[in-house]
Amino acid sequence: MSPQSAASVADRIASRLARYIGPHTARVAVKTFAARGLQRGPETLTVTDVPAMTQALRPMLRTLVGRQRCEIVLQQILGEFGL
Amino acid sequence: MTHRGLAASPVVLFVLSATAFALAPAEARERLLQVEIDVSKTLALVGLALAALAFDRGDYLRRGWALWSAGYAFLLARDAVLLVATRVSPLELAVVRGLFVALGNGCVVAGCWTLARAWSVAGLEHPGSRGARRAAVALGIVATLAFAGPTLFVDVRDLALGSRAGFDLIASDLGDLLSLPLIAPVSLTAFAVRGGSLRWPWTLLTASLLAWLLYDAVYTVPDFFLAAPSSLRLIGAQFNVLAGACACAAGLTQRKAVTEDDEE
Repeated sequence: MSPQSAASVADRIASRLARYIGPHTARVAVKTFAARGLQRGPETLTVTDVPAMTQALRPMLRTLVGRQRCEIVLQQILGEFGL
Repeated sequence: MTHRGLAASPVVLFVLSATAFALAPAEARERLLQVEIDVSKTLALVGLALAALAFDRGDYLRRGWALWSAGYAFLLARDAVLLVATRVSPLELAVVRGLFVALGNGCVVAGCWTLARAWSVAGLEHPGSRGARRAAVALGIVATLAFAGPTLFVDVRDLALGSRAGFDLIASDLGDLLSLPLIAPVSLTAFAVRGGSLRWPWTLLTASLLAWLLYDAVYTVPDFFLAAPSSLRLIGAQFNVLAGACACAAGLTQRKAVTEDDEE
């Protein structure tokens, strides 16, 4: 996968999160939880990493928007990639 | 109503409240102010409770919003005790009022603390350098000590001198001293979520705490200049109304952010 499309995976996930936590923190969150959950940089993320990323993001989202909204957002992220 | 409309509502309520206060006859102002304060506390209680109920049982923020709402319920109960003041002894009145104020402030402090910690519980760091974040926390502490600290000193002194039964005042002062420094982490969270729908509740929470700080300042600053006109203090109490209205709007925008899909 090219670096361009790999970067867009992180951007597309961040774009979903940005609706709630703003674009700056959304990018930081993707970077933080890609490193914690996958031990990788956000620029290396591919579509196959998306389910693992949603798992890594779940505790943060659940804290900030609650269980129900968290699950909706995670489903939207998975749906964005046809998963 | 949109997030923006909800966010504007405290300003509208503040202006209406201040206008009604200014137009009221002098002898009716104190009573009118108490009504305005109780209305704003009731609004805060409802708005904060609705925010708590937007979350599921076990959700972290449900506890924070619920505790803050309970705080307003106890403070309203304290005001309600005044309605039966003539039927109980002064000592009973002081004890019951002190109990409600202590419980109310305890809940507000615990609620503030829970909400202020949400960002770190979520596993995130506030924006800015560590030095800048520490400076923000230090500023919150200094402002609180400057504006709320002297009031505690005066109330403790008065209690020691036996000039009045002031357990409720001291509980209130301690509540302010413990909760108002949390303006820093709450405002840092509001800054972190700029551009997202969560900016509304966090900005309004910050505004509510700032209004409480201004309320304390109005009571404290004139004392430094040995000029504390009662009219200024009554006007300053309008910040109490603003704090409740902001808390209500914070709760409603939080509920909207987590229950509705149509983000702005």
